Amino acid sequence: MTQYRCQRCKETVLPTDMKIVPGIKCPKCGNRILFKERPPVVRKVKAR
Amino acid sequence: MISVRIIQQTPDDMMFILSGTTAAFANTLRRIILSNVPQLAIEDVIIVENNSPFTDEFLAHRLGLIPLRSDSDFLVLPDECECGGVGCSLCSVTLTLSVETADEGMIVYTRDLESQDPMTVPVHQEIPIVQLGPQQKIILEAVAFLGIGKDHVKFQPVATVGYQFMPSITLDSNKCSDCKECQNACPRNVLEVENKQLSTRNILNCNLCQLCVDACEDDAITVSGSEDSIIFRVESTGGIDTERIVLKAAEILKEQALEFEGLLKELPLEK
Repeated sequence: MTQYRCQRCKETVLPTDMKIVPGIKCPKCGNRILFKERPPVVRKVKAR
Repeated sequence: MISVRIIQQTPDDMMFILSGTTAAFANTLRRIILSNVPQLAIEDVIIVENNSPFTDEFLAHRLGLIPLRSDSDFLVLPDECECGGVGCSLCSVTLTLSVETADEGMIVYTRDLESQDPMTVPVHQEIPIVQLGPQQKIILEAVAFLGIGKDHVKFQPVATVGYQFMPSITLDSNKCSDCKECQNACPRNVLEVENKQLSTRNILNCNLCQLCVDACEDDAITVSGSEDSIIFRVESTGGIDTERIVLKAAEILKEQALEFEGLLKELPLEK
């Protein structure tokens, strides 16, 4: 599942956690800047 | 009868004179070197972790352009491999990169790539790949395949390859006023005029620019290219030695000519 990280409190935020509060916000501190975490999957890219 | 006289030869650089042939043949050789001689390059990059400032695609693109040194006699083209081009030990070489920074950043160089085959290593060890900041990490596996320049420029075995006609410079001593304007006009210092007699220092340096002809007010000097003698220059990227590149190109040309001959024979030609 996609994970986000709060810019201020560095807390991991799941999409389900965000439904608790209206809008896009960190449920812990209310900060509105979230970074999308790199999903733990192996990517195959063409070197072109 | 085509003859080849080697003027200069190192693994990275080669110059020879092709005589008894036409520019069409030299151009064929040049085009085959550019587009058909196989060279090894990174094609697939499997990225496990990357939190560097570079995106996965950007990183992969940079890795692809790194020239790799390889004795490609042991490898086959993926299309001709038994595995069908998926990637086995016969057609591919795997390189791994695993770097992590603590409190200080660092620059990741090509020397950090670890090759599965000790013979297949980057030509230059000091090419920067990416600059990492503190607490950043890259773990990836790069798979190198043989390929041809027609498919992608990273598979091109040469940096430059070109030819020019052999310069032929003549001075009419009856017209010459010994002003030495031609000598001064030459940007490559090829000419030397003494007592209305012409001598050349290194005629191979002449690029037929005609500046000496323009400078001569007496119309005494003529510069022309001799079409049956061609100066051919090859400069390798370092992946394959220049001699092998030229020999391989000649081999490919022969194969293609034979294939063409076979196809022509199959055609129902009217008699």
